[in-house]
Amino acid sequence: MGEILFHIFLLGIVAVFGISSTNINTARATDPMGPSGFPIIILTFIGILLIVSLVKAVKKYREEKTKMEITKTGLKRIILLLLSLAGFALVTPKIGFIISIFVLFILMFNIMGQTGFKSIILGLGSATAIILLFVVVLSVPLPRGLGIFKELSYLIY
Amino acid sequence: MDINLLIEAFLNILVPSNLMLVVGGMMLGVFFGALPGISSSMGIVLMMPFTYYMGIIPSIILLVALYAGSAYGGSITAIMFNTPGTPGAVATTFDGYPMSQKGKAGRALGLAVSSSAVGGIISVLIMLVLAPPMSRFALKIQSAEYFALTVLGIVCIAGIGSKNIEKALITGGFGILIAMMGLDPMTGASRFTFGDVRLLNGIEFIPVMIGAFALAEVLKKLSESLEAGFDTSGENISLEALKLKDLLMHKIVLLKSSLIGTVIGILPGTGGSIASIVSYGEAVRSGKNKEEFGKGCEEGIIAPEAANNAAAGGAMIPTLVLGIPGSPTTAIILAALTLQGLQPGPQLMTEQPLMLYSIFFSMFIASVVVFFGGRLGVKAFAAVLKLPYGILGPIIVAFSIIGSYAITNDMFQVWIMIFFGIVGFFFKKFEFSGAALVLGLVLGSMMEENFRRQLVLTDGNYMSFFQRPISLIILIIAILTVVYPIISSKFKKAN
Repeated sequence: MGEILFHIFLLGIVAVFGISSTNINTARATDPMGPSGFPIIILTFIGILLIVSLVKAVKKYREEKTKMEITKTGLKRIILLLLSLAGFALVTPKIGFIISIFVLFILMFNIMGQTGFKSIILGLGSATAIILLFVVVLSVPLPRGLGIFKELSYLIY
Repeated sequence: MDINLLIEAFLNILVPSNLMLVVGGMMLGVFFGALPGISSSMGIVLMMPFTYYMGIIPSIILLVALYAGSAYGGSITAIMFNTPGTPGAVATTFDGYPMSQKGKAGRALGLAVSSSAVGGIISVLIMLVLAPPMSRFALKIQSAEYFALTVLGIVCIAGIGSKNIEKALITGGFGILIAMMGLDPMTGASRFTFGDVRLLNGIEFIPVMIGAFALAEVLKKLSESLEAGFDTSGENISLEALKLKDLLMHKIVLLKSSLIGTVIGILPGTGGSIASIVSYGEAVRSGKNKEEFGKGCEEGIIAPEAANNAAAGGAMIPTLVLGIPGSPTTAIILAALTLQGLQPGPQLMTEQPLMLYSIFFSMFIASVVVFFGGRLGVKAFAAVLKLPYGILGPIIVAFSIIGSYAITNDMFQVWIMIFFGIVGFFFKKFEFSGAALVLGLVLGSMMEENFRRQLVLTDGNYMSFFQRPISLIILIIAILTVVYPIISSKFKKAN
């Protein structure tokens, strides 16, 4: 069933892009296809193949009644990791990279079975190594955060 | 060709300080190439300030060796974590990762390093002999040929990296579609930006690649592992090194892929990704055991690795002989040469041949160093896999975040990486091809631009793609690539 739903999701994306392709400004086109011609060809191509693939997925489902093989624990871990990543992406511009990567590491180690004090030690070690490599050695301008977090970051990089 | 000049250039490189620069540059290149999102161009930019204090030849040697090393580095993470360090290493994941999963990471890395080195050496030898005529040939390649080449790349996608051709083509199509997001290069009209100004520049392929491969792989592991299952992953890893005679068994694939890589690399703007995918496709087509590809086949590692390193060498030909950089990295090398007072272009060959040969030989020595040094380093890289996945997983995710962020120093790229991580996870679950998505994305804009440019040049003549001999030949090869397996299987069934 999951495969059928995923096909429908992809068809939805094709539909959204299809509608958007009708709004492309073609007034300045100098070539016979214009800026919307090539995307429309590709969208048609994907659409046809998706329908063929969807029909096959439905047939397969009817014959085998296959289910998505994800355990409850697995699903819980995936959701927790994605929530952690989303949280990281949201708060990093505000609190800066140093604190957020440390917290993210602890969360990730816990999700992947390294719990308790071990996760804190691993988190601290990994965050320090990452900061040394990318910030100090490679000078990647990672986010400093706002206010006091920004001031604190200047002590390190 | 002046033999005395060749000898003088070779001796130039063999000066101990220059040799040290070759080794150092190569090692740095491997390091930068192995970090997804931290490209060789970034490595070269970081090294440029140091070159201000060096002479012309030492500085060029350092940068060129770094460039050569980075082409190999991309394969390390591709084999170990199913995360290509560079787009050129996408095809290496098809067989490199399955081989690593079988516990043969040492052998897979050995194959990658050895074939990378051989690809690099062959391309340098071709450069030494054929640089001027091949540059003139590259100038004849126009929009029709570039379009035909991208068609060949897309066709190769169909037959590889997925058990299902339709699904590979669907994901390849989505890749092309994503490549069209942003401002239309010919008219400036905005396409598929949905009112978001951050999409006006289009979608960068590095976050997509990192998401679809690295994050998706971590999510897959999370979905599969049972309670406390993360501590047991690396115990059966073999650190078996590769013997030279094992490599020689695949000499035909090695040679063929190196030639394909060099020729494609010479064409400005193409690069290692097309070269590796076309070589992989050719290796599958001509392979005796086709069913082994995608399951850890040795030739499936040798072909893309030899080709993408040969392409890195090939790309130096138009950069040096014509002054046309074919990639962002070669553009930066070109800038570094200009800063040193050199003027790349046709006159370099006539006015400063010693310099040109020194550059070629530094790439040659870098490849030789990769061949011997890399084989020694293989065990160290493979040993990383002995770490439990519970520790490796978070580190991979952290590298993915920084690799994505570093592209434009913007958290938006991290969001893109997360989105494509989720999509990539479902691709894996339902046997769609993440590799096809990335290759479609890499080839998409080149395909569209050249198709439309050719139509402008020929007043809308669609037949013009079949009227130019080189374009026609490439298109025939593309058609044969699709048709031949179908006819051959029907013929076998009939018999």
